Amino acid sequence: MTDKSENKNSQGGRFGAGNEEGAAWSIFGYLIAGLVIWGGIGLGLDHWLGTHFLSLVGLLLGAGSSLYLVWLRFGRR
Amino acid sequence: MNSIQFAAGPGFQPPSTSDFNLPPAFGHSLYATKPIFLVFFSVILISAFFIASSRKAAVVPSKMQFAGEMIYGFVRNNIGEEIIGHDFMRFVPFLFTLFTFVITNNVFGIVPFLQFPAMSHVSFPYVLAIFSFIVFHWVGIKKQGLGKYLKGIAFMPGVPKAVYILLTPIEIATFFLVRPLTLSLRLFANMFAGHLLLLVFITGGDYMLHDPHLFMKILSPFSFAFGIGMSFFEFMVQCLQAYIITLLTALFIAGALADEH
Amino acid sequence: MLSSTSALLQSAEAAANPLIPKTAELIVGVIAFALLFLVLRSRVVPMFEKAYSARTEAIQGGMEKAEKAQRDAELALQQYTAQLADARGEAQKIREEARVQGAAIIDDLRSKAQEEAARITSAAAAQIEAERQQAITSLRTEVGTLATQLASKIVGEALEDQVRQSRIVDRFLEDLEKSK
Repeated sequence: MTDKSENKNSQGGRFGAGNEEGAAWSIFGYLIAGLVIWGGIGLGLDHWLGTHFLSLVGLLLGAGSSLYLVWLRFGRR
Repeated sequence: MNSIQFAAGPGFQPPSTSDFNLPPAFGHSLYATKPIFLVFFSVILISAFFIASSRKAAVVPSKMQFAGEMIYGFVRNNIGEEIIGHDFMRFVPFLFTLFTFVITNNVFGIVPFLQFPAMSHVSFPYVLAIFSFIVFHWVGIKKQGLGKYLKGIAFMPGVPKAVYILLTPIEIATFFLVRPLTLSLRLFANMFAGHLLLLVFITGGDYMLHDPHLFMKILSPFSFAFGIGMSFFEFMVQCLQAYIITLLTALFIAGALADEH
Repeated sequence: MLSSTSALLQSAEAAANPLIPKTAELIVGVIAFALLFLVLRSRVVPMFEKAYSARTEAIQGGMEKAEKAQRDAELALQQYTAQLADARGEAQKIREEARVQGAAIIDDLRSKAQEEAARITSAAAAQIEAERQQAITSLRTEVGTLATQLASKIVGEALEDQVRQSRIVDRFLEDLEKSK
C-alpha cells in the first residue's frame, strides 16, 4: 500500500471506528446511492435498448460496488 | 383520498396527505398558513428562551440558565466536540441553531393547540438540508481547495483505475444527492407519519364518539387513550430526529474536514 | 377530489404530492433559520461560552486557592515542628543546667556543712584542751598547797619562803612524773 492509502486508513479510523454510529449512517448512504445510481442506469438502458435484464444487472452491480466501497472506507485496516 | 373513502354515505374519512394542506388562516396569502406561523413562533420562542437563560452568564446558574446550558452543552459537547473534535467551536452556533429549530418545531406536533409539526411540510427539511449541504461542502472546499476536495470525493486512493467507473458515480451521488436527500426526507417522513398516526387515533375517536351505535361510543375512549399514548412515543421520535439531523450534519462536517478520500 | 375540500385547498393542487416543496415555505424556512442562527450566534453562544470559561476559571482558581492553603498549612506545620523541637532542646538544656546547678549547690552545702562541723569540732577540742590546761594548772596549785601543808605538818617546819616552797613542790612533782 502506498503512503497515501495509509494516511487514508488513519482517517478512516477516525471517521469510522472512532464513531460507530457515524460509520453506520455513512454505510447506509453508500448502499442507497449504489442501488439508486446503478439500478437507475440499468433501468435507463432497458428503456433505451428495449431489454429487461439490465436493471437487475445494474442493481447487483450497484450493491456489489457499494459493499466494496464500504469495505474500502471502513473495513480496510 | 376518494378511493379510500367508505362507499356508504358520510362514513369515516381516514386522514390523508390532504390533511397537511392547511388553508391560509386569513385572507388568501400563501404566507398566512399555520406551519409558517409556527416556524416564526418557534424562532421567537427559542430566541427568547435562550437570550433570557444566557443573559446573566452566571458562574452559579439559575434554574433557567441551567436548563438552557444543558441543551447548549449537549449540542456543544456531545455532538460538536465529540464528532468534529479539534476546531469544533466554529460550527457550534450552526449546530445549535439546527438542533433547537428542529426539536422545537417537532415538539409543536404534540403541544396542545399548536399540534402541528412544521417539519411534516417537506419544504422546511429541504431548507435545513440545503443549509447543511452548503456548510459541509464549503468547509471541505475551504480546507482542501475546490479541485482537491472534488477529486478526494470522486477518486478514492488505493483502488485500480478501472474500478473508478463503478465507484465514482456512487461517491458523487452519495455526497451530492443521497446525503441531503436522506437528511431531509428522514426528518420529513418521521414527522409526516407521526402526525398522520396521531390524526388517525384522534379523529377516529372523535368519529366513534359521534356514531349512533353505543358500541362505537364505548370504544371511542380507547382510541383517544391510544392517541395520547402515541403522543409520548411521538415525543421520543421528535427528539430523536432532531438529534439525528444535527448529528449527521456534524458527521458530514467532520468528514469534510478530515477525509481526503 | 371532493369539491367541498378542493374549494378549501386551491393552493394544494400542486402540493398533492407531499414531496414537492412550496415556494412560500422555502423562503420562510430560509429566513427563519437564518434569523435564528444570527440571534443564537450573536447573543446566546458567546454568553454561554462566557459562563463556561468563568466557571472553569472559578474552579481552577478555587483549586489553586486550596493548593496554596495546603502549602501554607504545611509550612506552618513545619515551622511549628521546628519550634517544638527548639523548645524541647531548650527545655533539655535548662533541665541539664538545673541539674548541674543543683549538684553544685548540694556540693557547696555539703562542703560548707563539713567545714562547719570541722570548725565546731576543732573549737570544742580547743576549749577542752584549754579547760584541761586550766584544770591541770589549778590542780597543780592546789596539790602543791596541799602537799606543802602536808609536808610542813609532817616535817614540822613552816616553809614560809614561797620560792623554796614552790621549788620543793616542783621537785616533788617531777619525781612523781618520773616515777610514773
